[in-house]
Amino acid sequence: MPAASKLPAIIIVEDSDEDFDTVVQAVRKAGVVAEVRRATTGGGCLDLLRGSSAVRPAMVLMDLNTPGTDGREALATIKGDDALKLLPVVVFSTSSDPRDLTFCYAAGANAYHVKPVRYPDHLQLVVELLTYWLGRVVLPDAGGTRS
Amino acid sequence: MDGGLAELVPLVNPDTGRPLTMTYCALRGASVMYTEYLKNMKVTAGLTMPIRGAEELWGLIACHHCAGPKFIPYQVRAACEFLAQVVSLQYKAAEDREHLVYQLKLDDVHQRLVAQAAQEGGLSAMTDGKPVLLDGLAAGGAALYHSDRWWRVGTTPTEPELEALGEWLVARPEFTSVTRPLYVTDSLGRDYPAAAAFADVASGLLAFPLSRTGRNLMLWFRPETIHTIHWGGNPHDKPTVPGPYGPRLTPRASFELFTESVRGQSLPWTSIEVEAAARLRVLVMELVVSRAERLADLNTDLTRSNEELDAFAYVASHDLKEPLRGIHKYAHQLLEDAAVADTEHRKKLDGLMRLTVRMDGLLDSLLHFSRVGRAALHREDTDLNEVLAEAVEMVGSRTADGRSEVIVLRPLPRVWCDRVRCREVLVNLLSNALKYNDKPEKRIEVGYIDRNENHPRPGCPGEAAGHTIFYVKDNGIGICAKHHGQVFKMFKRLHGRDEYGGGTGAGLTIVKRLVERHRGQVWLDSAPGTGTTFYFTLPCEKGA
Repeated sequence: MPAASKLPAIIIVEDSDEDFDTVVQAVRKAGVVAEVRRATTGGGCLDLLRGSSAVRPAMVLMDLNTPGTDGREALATIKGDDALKLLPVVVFSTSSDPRDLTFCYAAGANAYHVKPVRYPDHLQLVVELLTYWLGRVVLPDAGGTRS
Repeated sequence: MDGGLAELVPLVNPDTGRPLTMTYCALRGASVMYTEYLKNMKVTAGLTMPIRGAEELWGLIACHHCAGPKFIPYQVRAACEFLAQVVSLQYKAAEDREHLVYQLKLDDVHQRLVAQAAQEGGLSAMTDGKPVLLDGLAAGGAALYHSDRWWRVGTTPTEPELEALGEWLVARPEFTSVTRPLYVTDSLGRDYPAAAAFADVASGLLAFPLSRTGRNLMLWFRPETIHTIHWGGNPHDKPTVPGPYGPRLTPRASFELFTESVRGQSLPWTSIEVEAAARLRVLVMELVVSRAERLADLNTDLTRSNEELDAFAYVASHDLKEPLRGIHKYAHQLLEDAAVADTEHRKKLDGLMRLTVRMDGLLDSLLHFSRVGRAALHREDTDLNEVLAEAVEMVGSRTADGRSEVIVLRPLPRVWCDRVRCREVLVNLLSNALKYNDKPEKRIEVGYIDRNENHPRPGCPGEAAGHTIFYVKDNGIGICAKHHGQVFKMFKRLHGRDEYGGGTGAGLTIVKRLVERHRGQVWLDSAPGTGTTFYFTLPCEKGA
């Protein structure tokens, strides 16, 4: 186990620069110390989780509608993979469509949040999310996915 | 005439078990009925020759001699027979010619119907075009039953009468025949007594099924022909005078013509007509098949357009909202950076953010409306009182001030409806009733008018008659009559954007859509200052 991994990582799957910026500001505002890794597509997220220099994040904040392999597919892949399924995946989407909600929870999403249009609300929600998932939640041994 | 008769031996052919065939018998004794008839006319000798049509005996040439016995030599007899044959041939030729002309006419109508059907398609081509199903066939009316509806042309029985007749027809053994299912009669009342009620339009019936199963039918009707039959006397007024052969039916001495009208009888259907009708049946069946294909096509189109609408709604929800969020964010950040004193600048940025929030609301409403129209209803036996209680709780924040009340005069009935959607209807109506209300004591009454109750139903549309009507009545600001039609329009608001708590103007549109999804109606009764009552129906028949 490399010592450098002391800093918890979070993966933000977000294709919109504005929304990603909001998350970065929220990280700062929440006062959490974490390494923020960005993927602009669901496929990019899977690349970060796999391979030789795989990131083992504390959580994934997943946008659903991304180019290429989208968030839904990435979510289903993570939750269908024995090595990754304990990883908390929090869906953060513009869509409030009941079908998206049903799909995501059925696929094993840990939570689903709808992005508010008002910037202060949006920022506040991400701050709360980060505080909760990085500070309050108890997870199996650092994600339980490390071998 | 006075020649004696010898009885035939044997009367029944032992080989066939049937009466002996006398058709080709050249010389034979006449029936005692006939000879008595002649005797009454003082005929002493007679010579009779048949005139045959294609299928039946058409007439007779009868020669009578009244001055004692008369011998007619063989040559004369042969000549007479020859004459009779010539007349028979003439008759047959005339009959064939008539048939041919009729056949040609029927063929012509058939061809034109085919052409018309090819152009217009649909069963209405059979009943609404020119020519119609009826032309050529010398029928008074025709009717088609398919896809749970009747197409009628000409004079036919009424639809309820057709319904009953259809039920009766499909149970007939003739209709289950595999080779040729067909029911044909020139006296429907004889088989189907209920036909007496419409004997004047349908004493004759020619009927085909259009499908092996189900009640799809094709019918032609022929009116009652008041037949004029010339009898040698009224057969119903039989004389009791015994004839020379004892007290049995004998012809009358009277030659007074008696006209008897035979009721419930139409002209008979000829084989040509039955054939023509059978060919029309094939044509109609082809139309039915092509109609089903077209319906399937339309369904595919509809499914596709629904999917496209889905995709559109998704675009509205996501792809349009994402930039909106960005705009709001930049406006917010600009506002944070702006100098506190620069009020003009700050006001514009405030406006920009307010507009993005408003647009977000409109997009949400649009999205919700599109979901409301498409998502399947989950109907169940529902206690509306529970639904109302939930709805009141949901608008609770507005009633919490203690100066608003929702009154239910008597418990609401149970209804076969989608619980969640009905709650949404009530939530929308209740929140409107509270919102558009400037009274210090806001009073809302929720109730119903039972279908059997004698109660005024202002503005009730025809479709809602006969159903239980629910209402939500308020003492609010009321709506001017000229705006009654507009309140249900998408995004239509009657007041300024921020008056009465704002809103996107989708609430009543959604109410209307939800009620209509339940096959109900919604309408209102209101005038400025008198409050508003919204009425709606939820037709609750199961399967509705």
